[in-house]
Amino acid sequence: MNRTLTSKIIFVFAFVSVILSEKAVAQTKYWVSFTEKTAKHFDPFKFFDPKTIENRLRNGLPLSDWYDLPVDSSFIRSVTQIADSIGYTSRWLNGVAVFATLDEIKKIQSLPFVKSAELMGFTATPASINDSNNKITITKDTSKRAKIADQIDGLEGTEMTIHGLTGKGIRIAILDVGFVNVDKHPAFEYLRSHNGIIMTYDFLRHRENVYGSGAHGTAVLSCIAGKYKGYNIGLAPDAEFLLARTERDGSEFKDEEDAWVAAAEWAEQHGAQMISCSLGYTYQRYFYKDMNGHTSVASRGASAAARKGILICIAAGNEGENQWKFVTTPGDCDSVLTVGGYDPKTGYHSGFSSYGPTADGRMKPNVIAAGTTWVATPRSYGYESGTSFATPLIAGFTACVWQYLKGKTNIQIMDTIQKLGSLYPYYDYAHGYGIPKAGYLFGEKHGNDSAITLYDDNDAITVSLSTSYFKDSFKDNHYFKDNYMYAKATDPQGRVKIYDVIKVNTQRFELANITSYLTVGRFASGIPTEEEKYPKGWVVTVFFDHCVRSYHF
Amino acid sequence: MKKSILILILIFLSLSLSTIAQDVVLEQKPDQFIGGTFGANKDWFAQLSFGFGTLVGKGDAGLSYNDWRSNDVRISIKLKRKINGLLSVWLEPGYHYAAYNINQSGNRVTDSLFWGGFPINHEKERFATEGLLINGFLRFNIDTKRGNFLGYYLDLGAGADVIADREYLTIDKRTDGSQVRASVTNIPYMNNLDYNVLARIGINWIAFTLNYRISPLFKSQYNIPEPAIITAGIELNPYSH
Repeated sequence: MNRTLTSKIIFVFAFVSVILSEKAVAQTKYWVSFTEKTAKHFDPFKFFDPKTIENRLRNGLPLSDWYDLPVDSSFIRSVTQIADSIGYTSRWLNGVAVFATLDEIKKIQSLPFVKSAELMGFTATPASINDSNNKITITKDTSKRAKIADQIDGLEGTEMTIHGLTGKGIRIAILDVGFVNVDKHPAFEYLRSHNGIIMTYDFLRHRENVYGSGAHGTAVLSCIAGKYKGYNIGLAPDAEFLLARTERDGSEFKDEEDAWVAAAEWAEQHGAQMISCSLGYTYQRYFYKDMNGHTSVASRGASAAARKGILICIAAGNEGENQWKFVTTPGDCDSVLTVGGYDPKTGYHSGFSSYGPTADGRMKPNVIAAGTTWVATPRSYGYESGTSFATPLIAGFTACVWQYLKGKTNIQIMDTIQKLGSLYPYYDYAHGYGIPKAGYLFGEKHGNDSAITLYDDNDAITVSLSTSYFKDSFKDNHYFKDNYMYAKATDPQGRVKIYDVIKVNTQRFELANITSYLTVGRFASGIPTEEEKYPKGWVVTVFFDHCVRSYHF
Repeated sequence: MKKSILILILIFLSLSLSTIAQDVVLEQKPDQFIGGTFGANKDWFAQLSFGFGTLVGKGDAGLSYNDWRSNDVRISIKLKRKINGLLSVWLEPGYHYAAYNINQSGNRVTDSLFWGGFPINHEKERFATEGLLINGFLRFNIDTKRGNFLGYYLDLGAGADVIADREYLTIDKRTDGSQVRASVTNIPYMNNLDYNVLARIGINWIAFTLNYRISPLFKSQYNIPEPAIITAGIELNPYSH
């Protein structure tokens, strides 16, 4: 037997093993936090864009605080002397991203001013679906307006236009994988014509040009401010934009989480009121238990941005049909507006859209928008699916709401958006509070909660409509057609244990025959008790046609 | 008559039911998905594995094996029990097919074993085995604090092949161009069990493998030259996350 060849093979195998080990160990990225800041002076008027000053005043925040002070440069120098290299620093998190070996990070941890060193995340996943099965086939109306009808009409977007709300005066930062051809594409001609793009920065290549690679951001931007044959693709064409590239498309470099935080700080410094981000970090670095809003570096950065008065719209993620299933980070933060997707063909949850709750039991997503949308592609237009595109639709909607409610803080606006939800005050972990409706911003919601009657039917709750429901003239149509009933059971701790969307099939009825009530559906408990009854203390809540009713056991 | 009444009752009942007809189009019980212990980097995991390997190096003198055309195929299920972030124990039962192609040059032991000592050059000549494989190995996760995916890993372990079927096959061509396949399946010269140690480096769903055979393929009393003892290969280990 040829020992030389065998030896060579074993050597190559061992060499590759060592290379891989070294790659994994030597290039490990850590987030190093410091104990203090030594800087004493900070001039917000020199450092911040005037719009940032305006934002802070509106949100009742101090013009500068400890979080704005720069990271101590002597700390950075000391770390640099030990580590292979460093990434971005963060004023908000008072730390720096560091590439280091185990030995190096141990040395860094022993420095007196180092508070902690944590491993950092891998690549985030753009929340778009590249599956042609999810693309809509246009079978009926192929007119220009029809293409964008679902995404605009779902939000009652024309109400915004009628009221002259186009996002004017609202500055939005978009953090994405790149914005190829935004500087040329006709979808953004209007945006370019009024100099709507204020500033750009590529946080991976450290340069201003973000138009060279990555089409995901192009589609995302179009869902806020793009135009198609004269029609608005999104709701805020007059908003101002900061475009940041924080992610490599389809790669697995480990740069992105600190770039995300750096971009958020950059956005705040340059006057962003809102951030729209359709990226999420999942299984490559984290477990579901980490989706608690304060574990990942990105979620801590997002929380810090929210504390600075920025309203952040984050994609829930497209993990609904994957093993991960739940929202991705930083969509797990409590102070960000996490956006899921609904299927425009059915009006309820798109299978791919990630579910809540967060690992610590909070409701997510907050709201939903169309999960399949007409967007600008690098050279043309097309349908794309994913919460990536639902998110900027909500961002555009939010910009209009904020334009309308000028003096409100980011948290107040977020609260308003939730209250505009089609299901509000009902919520579940697939739809949040539902689809925000512009019509509710300018008028009252219809609905007569007392019109729903719930009966305990041992193993189920029977849902009936009282005669008072039919007294409203707008319901005098003698039939239901494809109405959806939403129902959930909540335990005494307030956690939703089961929730359904129930399609109430077409029913013809004669008003004259309805003496007291009409049964429309049943909600089976699905609770595995011996008697198949709901346990004491549980609450069943049902939403049907703007009416919400609860039954307490 | 009774039958007609029964049918009428059934029709009436079905009409009554239709008034409360409903379809549950979405139902979720969040607790069912929280805190699961099954996953690529969780306590328990199972995945299919498809492996393809080839002999490397030279076998013993006296029978020249065509190393790069001597291949093996493995289809197995890998079952995992996580010990900690660094280490996990795996068991891998599966199917294994191996073929050892023999070069048609020089004197070959097979001439005397199967052909009465007459040297015949065949179009193809090979030994082949198939049977069950069972491997046990330790997996060292190189990036220990990653999330729920396989990532970089190093496997070290040992295994055995229980040979259920063995074959000596030759393929020859007649002058008219047709093929003659001669297959001998009753081969007393080969061992029933093979033992090997294995090393594997993996990058998520793809892995490079080395198998080192520590037991002879043939029974020692027959003095049949052994093929190369190292098999290098590649594995595909698909999984969803």
